[in-house]
Amino acid sequence: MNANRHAVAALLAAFLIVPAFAQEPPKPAPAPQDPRVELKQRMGARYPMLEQLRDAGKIGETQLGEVKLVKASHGSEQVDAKDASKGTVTELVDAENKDRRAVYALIAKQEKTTPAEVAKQNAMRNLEKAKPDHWIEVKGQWVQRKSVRIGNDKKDEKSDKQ
Amino acid sequence: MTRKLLPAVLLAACVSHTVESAPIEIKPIHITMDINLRVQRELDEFFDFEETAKTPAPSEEQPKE
Repeated sequence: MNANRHAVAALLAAFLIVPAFAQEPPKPAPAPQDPRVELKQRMGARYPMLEQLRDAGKIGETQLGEVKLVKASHGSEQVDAKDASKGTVTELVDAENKDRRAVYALIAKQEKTTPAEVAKQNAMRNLEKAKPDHWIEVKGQWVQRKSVRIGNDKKDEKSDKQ
Repeated sequence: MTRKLLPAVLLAACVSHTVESAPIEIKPIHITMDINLRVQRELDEFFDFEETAKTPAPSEEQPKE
């Protein structure tokens, strides 16, 4: 009789305990993605298209660290003639500038400076990295990178001569 | 003539002249430069995908024998 009771108790315990262990631990709520990571992913995906448009002379860089249409007429053109889902050049430019402003704000907050200062620094960075045929807006005028001289250019020239 | 001029010269010597100069402002240039460098580094770090995109991928084609 006693043995029966033990057996029943053991069975009950098995039915109660095993399912409790078999249950998967509750999944933690998905952590909100770092805005920096999201921005980087979006901008990284957009970069080849922007570079293509820069190479084609359709867009250029401004002194305010933004990308801009060299001619307004390019705005309505499709980024990719074969793929309409990529949208127009204006849409791409607007999306890029929106993300850039977010990046500038993030860095400014981190470095305790202003977004405008970060934007200026990025404009300088873009100028230095631009290809000779890329367009840069200087004081409202579009000029090609090859006709703009910056401090580092002189150093480069000297090192070339040596 | 000298007697007339002497009191005038003596009086002029008694007038106090003060030269006011604008306070010299020393801007913390080194701090600005430090922030700029940090911003540049942050920008380089964030936009590192630009360098990756520019680096040509090694061709997968095998040289023909």
